[in-house]
Amino acid sequence: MNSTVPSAEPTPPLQPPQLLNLQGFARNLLQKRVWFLLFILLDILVLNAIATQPEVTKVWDYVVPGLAATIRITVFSFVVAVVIGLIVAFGRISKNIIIYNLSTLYVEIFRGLPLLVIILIFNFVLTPAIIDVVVGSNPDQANMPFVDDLIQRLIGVPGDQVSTTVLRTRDIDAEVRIVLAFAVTYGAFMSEVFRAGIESIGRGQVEAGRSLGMTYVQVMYYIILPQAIRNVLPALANNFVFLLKDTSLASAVAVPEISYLTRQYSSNNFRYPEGLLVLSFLYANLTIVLSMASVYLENRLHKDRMGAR
Amino acid sequence: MGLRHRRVLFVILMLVLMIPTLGTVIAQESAATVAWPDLGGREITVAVENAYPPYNSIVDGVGVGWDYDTFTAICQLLNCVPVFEEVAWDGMLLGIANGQYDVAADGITYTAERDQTVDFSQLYQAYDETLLIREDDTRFTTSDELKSLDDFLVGTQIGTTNEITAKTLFGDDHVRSFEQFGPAIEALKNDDVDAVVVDRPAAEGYIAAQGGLKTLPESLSGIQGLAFAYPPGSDLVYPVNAAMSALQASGTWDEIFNKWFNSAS
Repeated sequence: MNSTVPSAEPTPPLQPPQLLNLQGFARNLLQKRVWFLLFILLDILVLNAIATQPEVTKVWDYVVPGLAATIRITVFSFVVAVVIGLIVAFGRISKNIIIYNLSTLYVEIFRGLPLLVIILIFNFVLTPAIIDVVVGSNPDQANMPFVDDLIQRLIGVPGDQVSTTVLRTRDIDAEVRIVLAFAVTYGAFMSEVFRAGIESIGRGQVEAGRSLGMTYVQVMYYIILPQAIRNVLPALANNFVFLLKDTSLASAVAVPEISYLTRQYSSNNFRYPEGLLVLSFLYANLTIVLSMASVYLENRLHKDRMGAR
Repeated sequence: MGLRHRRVLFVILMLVLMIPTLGTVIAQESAATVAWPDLGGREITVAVENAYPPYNSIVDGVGVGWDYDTFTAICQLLNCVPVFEEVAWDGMLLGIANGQYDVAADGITYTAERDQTVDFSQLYQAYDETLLIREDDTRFTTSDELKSLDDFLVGTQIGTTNEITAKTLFGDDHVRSFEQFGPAIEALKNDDVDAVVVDRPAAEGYIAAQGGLKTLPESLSGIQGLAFAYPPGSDLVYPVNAAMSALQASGTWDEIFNKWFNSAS
């Protein structure tokens, strides 16, 4: 069409390429990022309170050392949960009746139980029961010396003591129990995420790969999983945020993470408003960083896919 | 000048003359109040935890304990209706400070710090804190021996005077605080902690309820007193104190006490 109409207008002079579209940036900031500016404003108000009000400063000093535990629990649980989720996802699409039913049973049980209940079970029932089975009633000689030594090595008992000592329940730290409780629960959720991801890739691709002479494992590893995982990355990021928030439940079994420390400080000093202010500040800032990262991830994936077409 | 002095003197003289009359009026008034406070069938919300035997606990689905019997007896005297409300210990004293409940009965220790935020009744029970341990534990018999054990741990309940005692005595790193005493005692039975810091009367309550536990003779802190807690400025402090004294005089107090603390002398 254009070629038939002679261009009467002079071509606009060449503009130097703009590195930063300031106007666009400012407009974008005003229209779509006001919530973020307000968030920062709230942050500044709270930070000001923390810096200037001695009662708030005291809570802050008491609670912040717990951040390490909160982050540690979140990261470790997430890593283990991803591994469990991947394995169980394959169980759920397996044609083997036993594997399919076992993995479905696992998913249904752990998706159905409230997280707090699972935490209490892991802390007060499962761990003592396991120690009871492995060690037995004799404190000098374990029932199952091999398992006993193996667990001791896993939890970092010095090598020269492993064969001479016997596990006690408290050797399995409450934090470890919590990580396991979170990992199996979120493993169940994530297996569903992974399963959906795998099933979203057309069966044709599996058949194509198989007809090229690849084994099932090769097809999964080289063709299906790279696409499936990319598809579910936003869902995984979401789960990470949920997991971070759920770590507050660990306070029920006295794990010194930020919720536990806040409750301890507040109930001893009648400082609930101050304590909860600091606690909310910490969680809100942790989750906003994570959710922005997940939005970024999503946008990048979206752009990639658009570009590929 | 002189006139003004004379006026002041006159006023003082009048006041001095009035003292005997005023005095009798006040005496009559307080005699009338002492005669008996009547709360006119008012409902009183009593905060309890239902997880602190023998003061309060759930037995066969019903809340029972010393707190229940005592407040029922107090209300019989004062013509009020006790409404027991289950409240987590964690926020109980804050709820009292905010006036959410009329009174808290949960074996609450009187402390000067708490007295700044809530009002207290007269003390109703003296107790000491001790260590609750497993019956078959022979590794230690005093808190000093416990401290000499490798990586020892003590359990207690969050926000209690026991928690403060435990932290002062054993250090933050050796204390694990649970939401209630129940989980702390479960942890003790599972060998997750070596001992639980608890008030002796409550310890006796747990021993009676669960078995397999014992207390150490040692006192961790001096004798302390338990009291009911009220919102600041509560009008119940005086009537309930009067009723407590009346119950103590009539022997009902000891009856209720012996019913719930029979194993403790």
